[in-house]
Amino acid sequence: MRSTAEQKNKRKRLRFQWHKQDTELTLLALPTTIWYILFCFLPMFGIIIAFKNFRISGGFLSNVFNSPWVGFKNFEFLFKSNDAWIIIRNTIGYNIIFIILGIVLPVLFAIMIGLLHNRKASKVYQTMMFLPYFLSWVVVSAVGWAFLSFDKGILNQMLVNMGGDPVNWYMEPSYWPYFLILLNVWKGLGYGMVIYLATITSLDSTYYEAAVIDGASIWQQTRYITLPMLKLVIVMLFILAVGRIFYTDFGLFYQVTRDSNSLFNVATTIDVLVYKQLKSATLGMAASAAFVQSVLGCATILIANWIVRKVDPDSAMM
Amino acid sequence: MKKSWKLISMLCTLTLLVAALAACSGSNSPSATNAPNASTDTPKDTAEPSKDIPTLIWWTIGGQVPNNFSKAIDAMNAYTAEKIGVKIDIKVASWGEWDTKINTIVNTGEPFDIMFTNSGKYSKQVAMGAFADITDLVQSEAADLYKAIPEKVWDGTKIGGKYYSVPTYKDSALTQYWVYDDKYVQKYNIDINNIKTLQDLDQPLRSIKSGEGKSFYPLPMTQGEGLNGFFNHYDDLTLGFAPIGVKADDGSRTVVSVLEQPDIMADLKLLHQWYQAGIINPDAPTKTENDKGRPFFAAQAFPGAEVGWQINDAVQKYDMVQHFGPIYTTSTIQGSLNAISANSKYKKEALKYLELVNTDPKLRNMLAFGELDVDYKNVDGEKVIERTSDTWPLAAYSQATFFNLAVTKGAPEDQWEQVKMLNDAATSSTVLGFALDISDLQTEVANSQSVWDKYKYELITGASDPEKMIPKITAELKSAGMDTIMKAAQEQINNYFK
Repeated sequence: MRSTAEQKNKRKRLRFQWHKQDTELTLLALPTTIWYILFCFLPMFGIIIAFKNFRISGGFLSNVFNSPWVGFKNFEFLFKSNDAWIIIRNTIGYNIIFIILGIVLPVLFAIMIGLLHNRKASKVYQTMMFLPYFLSWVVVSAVGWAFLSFDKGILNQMLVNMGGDPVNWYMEPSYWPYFLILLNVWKGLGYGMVIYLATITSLDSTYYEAAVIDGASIWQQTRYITLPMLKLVIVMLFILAVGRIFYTDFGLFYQVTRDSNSLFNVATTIDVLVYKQLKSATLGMAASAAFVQSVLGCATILIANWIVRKVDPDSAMM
Repeated sequence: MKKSWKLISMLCTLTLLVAALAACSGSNSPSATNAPNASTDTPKDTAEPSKDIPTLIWWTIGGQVPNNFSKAIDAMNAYTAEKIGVKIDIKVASWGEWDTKINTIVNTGEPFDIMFTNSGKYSKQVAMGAFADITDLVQSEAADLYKAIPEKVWDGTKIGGKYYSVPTYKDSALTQYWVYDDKYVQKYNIDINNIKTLQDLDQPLRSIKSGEGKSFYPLPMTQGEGLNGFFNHYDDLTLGFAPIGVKADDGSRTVVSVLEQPDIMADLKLLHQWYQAGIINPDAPTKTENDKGRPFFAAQAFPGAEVGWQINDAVQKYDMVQHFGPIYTTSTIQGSLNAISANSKYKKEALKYLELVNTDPKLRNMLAFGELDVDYKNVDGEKVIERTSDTWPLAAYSQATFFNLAVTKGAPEDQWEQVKMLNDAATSSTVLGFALDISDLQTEVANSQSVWDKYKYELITGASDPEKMIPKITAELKSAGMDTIMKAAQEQINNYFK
């Protein structure tokens, strides 16, 4: 009894000691910490704009402090708007699809590429899949325009050559969910794959050798060795993705659709709304929309983590 | 040992926090206040190379900036530095992104000295406190400027009885024209002088379409503009929002739902027929910028304006026919304003500069036409010039008055006198001088605006069927609070004209 208590005490003391290692690690963490304080924590105070009637009275800080409080008035527009539910539906709907595809496809491709014997080929494929990630959405939007433009687009010229009628793509909402999903997958696939591929290549090859000796097929190796080993990473990335379920890639939904009115119902997400409010209405209204987004995002990440902990405590993050 | 580490790490964290805070407030302080003590250290860094000659930032609208832009600005600066001791740094927001950019700059408090603005934005920006009240300053510091612009035009910019901007005195009364590429007028024998209404245009446009073939669009449009001046018969109360207005000649000053008016409905139907017949380009609702050289378009203009377009569009000859106006409304006067930032450290200098632009033909021409002997040549002193390039991006109408601007060679020499005559002959909207105060209506205006934004491109380019769309839009507008806005507008109008 006494000895365990002593041990506990000792451990407690140890925990409050500062080691040389700690200094090194602290220094290592410094740049990130600074970045977080500057760009993540300080701007948080800006959230009070959502509760203020933003008026200009000097620089940004004095604007914020001198503007009169209006309580929740800025939030009214968001909930009085007829389109609130369309926007939330779009945001969550696309994100659910993106999360599912963003896990299934990269894992699938990572496993496939991991199985390739030819290292050179696997590197080439990987790089090719990674490339789109480096393109900005503005560039993608221009490329999309080259395909989909009504009078000069490649797609319409092909249709006309085959005897069909040209389609005004940017005014046909029915096609756009597919376009948007396709583009998102195309752009994100290579990036999503990297982490999985790194995990796969770092797996101990003796597992596989043992499995091969026992006569396991490739499918069985994947099913019983690779996937269970990947589980932790998958769950972690899943939680991260769920935490951002109220955020969407602004470039994808605004640039690629060229802010076409006709696509409003299928392409307006919270981020696009915030931007449009910033364009036409007040800063307070834009801030209130972003505030709601953050609160909901925080709630979802906590809920997702809670569910994961219920199901598999080892995989939970918090 | 332990303690010292702790201390050091504590100190580190503290310095970090302080540094972060300092960095944060430091970046803000130049714009944070115009109190003299706070600003002493910042202007020094910027002013040192220019030897205490302040450089004003002027945000304006225009096209793509050409290669010789900074050279042309340097020439202007050399001239103004000597004359009034002020330099200018002109920042150009392109036609397409101006709305967004200007709003963001004002909202985030980015420093600027002068900003081009116009009706629809102006009253919101003034309500936000973005612009300096120049009522007294303009009379004491820039008396020549004050005298150069007629009382009526100054009055049009008043908000709450005060001036917050310098109007550009030009074709301040709106006159609307139809512009035809002469090539097609000759080819299809169009009797342009007998075309007065949209319905009259139907036959000529159809004959051009059938003559020129399938992929030729006689009436090309873009999403933002549609058919220029489509809603001109209604005064928008400077709301910048078409669905609510007062008919410009309505003596009873009744606020109406514009889209539901029979004349607008009939015109929209016609547009829709044209769209279906391929007279309007099918991608109009998504197209952001016009191609150069349109066969036909509508424009707010003045005699001689076609000369500039001919050069810009490389079109041989445009025929211009007036079909509406001239008319004064608050919005037409507020069509082009230059306001001074409430945070500007150089309010007097900014006013001086605007005064010079409005009174000095040499600077005026440089601003409007670019680099002397590259973009334009003087033909008759500063009175007549010849443009030699089509790349100068700045919009002459956004800068200052027309009445000290040179006439472009080819335009009538008495062009500006004709514009003055148009101004004098103009009728006035029955609600002239009134600007809607939306400070208590922000939620409703924001929501109605977003409903209108959602549908307007397709409606004003004829892409959607007005008979189906207008009931839908009106219903959504009503639930977004259009009735509240209309009621408040009516009350404000009744009070204003009591």
